[in-house]
Amino acid sequence: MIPEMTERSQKLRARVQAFMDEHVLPNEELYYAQVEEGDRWAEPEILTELKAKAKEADLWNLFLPESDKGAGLTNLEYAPISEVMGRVSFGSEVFNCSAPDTGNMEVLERYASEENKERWLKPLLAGEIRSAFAMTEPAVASSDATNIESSIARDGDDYVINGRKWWTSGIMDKRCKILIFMGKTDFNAPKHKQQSMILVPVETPGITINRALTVFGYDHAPHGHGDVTFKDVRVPASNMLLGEGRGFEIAQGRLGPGRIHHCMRCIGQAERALEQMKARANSRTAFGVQLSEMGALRHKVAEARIKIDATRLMVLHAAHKMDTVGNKAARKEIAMIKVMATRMATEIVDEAIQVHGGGGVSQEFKLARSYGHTRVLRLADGPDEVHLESIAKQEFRRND
Amino acid sequence: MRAGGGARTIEDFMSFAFNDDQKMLAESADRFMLDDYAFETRRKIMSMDEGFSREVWSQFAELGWLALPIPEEHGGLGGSTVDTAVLMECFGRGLVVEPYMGTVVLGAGFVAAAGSDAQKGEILAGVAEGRTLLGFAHIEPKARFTLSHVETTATKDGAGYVLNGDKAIVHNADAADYLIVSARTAGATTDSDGVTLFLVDRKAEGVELRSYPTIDGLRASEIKFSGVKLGADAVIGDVDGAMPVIEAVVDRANVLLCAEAAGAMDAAVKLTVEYLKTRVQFGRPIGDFQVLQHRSVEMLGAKEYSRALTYRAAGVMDVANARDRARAVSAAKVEMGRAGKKIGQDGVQLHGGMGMTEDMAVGHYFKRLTMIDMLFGNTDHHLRRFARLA
Repeated sequence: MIPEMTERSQKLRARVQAFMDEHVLPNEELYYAQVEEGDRWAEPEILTELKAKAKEADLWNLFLPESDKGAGLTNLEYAPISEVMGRVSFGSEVFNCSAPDTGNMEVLERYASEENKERWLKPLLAGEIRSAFAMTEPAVASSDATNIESSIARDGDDYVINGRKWWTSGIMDKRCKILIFMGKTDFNAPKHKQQSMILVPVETPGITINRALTVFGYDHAPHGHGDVTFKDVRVPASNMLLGEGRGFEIAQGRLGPGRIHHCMRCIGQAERALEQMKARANSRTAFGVQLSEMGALRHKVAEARIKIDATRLMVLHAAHKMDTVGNKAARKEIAMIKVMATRMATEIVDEAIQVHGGGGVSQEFKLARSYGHTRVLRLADGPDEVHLESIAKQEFRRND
Repeated sequence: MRAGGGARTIEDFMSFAFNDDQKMLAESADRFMLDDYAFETRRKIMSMDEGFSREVWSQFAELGWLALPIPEEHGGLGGSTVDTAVLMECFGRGLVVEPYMGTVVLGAGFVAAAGSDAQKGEILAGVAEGRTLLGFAHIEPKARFTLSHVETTATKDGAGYVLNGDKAIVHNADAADYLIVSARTAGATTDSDGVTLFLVDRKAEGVELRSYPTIDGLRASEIKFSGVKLGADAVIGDVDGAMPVIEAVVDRANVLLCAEAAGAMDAAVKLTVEYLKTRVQFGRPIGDFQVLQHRSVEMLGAKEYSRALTYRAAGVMDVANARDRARAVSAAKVEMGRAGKKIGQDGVQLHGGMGMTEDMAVGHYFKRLTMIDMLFGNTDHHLRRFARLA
């Protein structure tokens, strides 16, 4: 069951919505234009402006559960705000609430030394720098995290890192200064104690960005997805997060809230796609009939509404469960929403593309871009299959 | 009737035009369904004691349909699998309840494939002439879809055997004169080696039937064999070596079931489209609504797709090696299962509440399609089999 949305959540949501309407949406096209025209890996000017405005309006770091640094909201209270931001592809970043930085900031907050927090968390919280998370590797099926091959080898007072990562999202951004790197410190330890997470400053010698990966042709600049080689990259031992062999532990801790955000952003994308679908249907006529009068299309709109609302309720339920019984007890629901939201959003955006005819696949309506974002989330942060397996495992364990 | 369907390779079979003999067969069978096997007639037949009509069965004999797949040297017409599929498709359209599958396809199929001259002489002409009925007792309560799962035993007793065990879902066993029974003569429960086929008099001592109607209007029985004494001459084919024969005959039966399903789907689609044209709601024939038009087109597409795979499999049945044959059959059964479910369910849905009643044929087609999917392996089973044979 989901309680009534609190007053502070409703108020904050309304303020974020107003900000989006007044400042972000009117500048959406300008953002994409600036990326194309300028240095694509630098922060577009309009984004810098918008972030300054958001900070000034006290709409900043809303994802943080601490009220002194962030908004002090529960997962449930923050979720609807995530949806509002998610309607625009770069929306969350305006409020310093985007991935992978939110996840990285939480990891730093929980597991980094005071010194490292001062050096990296502080500027991240201020929105002055960006971060990335280096985990997935091209050589192995990384959806099984135990397959990871990169090594983090102790050498005196340092660790030396070797490996090849890809889908290191955010590393292309010129403002990206720090990586959280996941690799094996002990190849012989029991499977779940082999891996560690360590901080790696981007400017450390030995890091080569091989190329920017694309998602259906989109490079998602300035954020980007890097294919990166690490050769004898040396960092101080104090960069180790939490401790050797505790990589999985950190991963479990960090994963819950981020998933809620991804799912709510998907819902935002789906709602927007549905709005576009309806607008298009109302304004086009084919074979003497307005599209919105055609039964097949009307049913698609109805099905989309059913899917969106059902998914939203499920996500809010998962968020509430996380708030009340913790991430571990809510892990089944968290897995369920990851499958539901990404699948639903991909299907609805796909239908919206279809309703727009040829225009749907072009840059004209941003639906093609949206498809890339939603489709990739069926893979990122755990592909559907991994979550389905997790749900099945828990189902078979039930004592009913 | 010319023997053979004409096809020699899968490529030969890319076009599914029937030859003249097959066209004539289809025309006369469809006319029979229209004139002598209408919905009401079928209802009366189903309520008969045996659940089918002996008179209709004699008519089938007269028309040469019972002789169709039986070898010429034993009084048959030597028809190909495609020829038989053409007839089965008409049976599907007519929702025929007579025991063609059990007697002609399975029973006679086993005797023709593996029987001794004496057995062939005794059984096949009788089947072709409509005098002899057969049942195939192979499926067992615990077997699920594993064809080689045989717990029924045939223990050597002097020159003969003693049969013990339980068989399930034997269609029209209570009307059968003989049962073709699989039993284990060696090996472990699911071993391929060690299964033997036996020809058993249905009235023999120790054969006990528990008969029941099935949801699609047919009849079947659970059979208990308790110490049934069999002579050495009851063995059909090689001792311990029945599995390859069972696989071949069941593969063929599956294709013919798919053909029957194609006919059922064809009829269900036609009935549904007709209903859409005539049923008026919200001020117009409901067929005017776009979503229903799309749905009926999707039904038609599913039927055509699965029917194509069925006839492809029928075409290669008599010429392909075991693996190619098995893959073609499994592909057909997979898609038939899916299409049957879609067409059955959508057919009922598009008829509204009336679709749920006994009075409308569409529900009967749905039930028949459901049972066909369940017989000799459903979609999931055949998907796995196809994948294993890749």
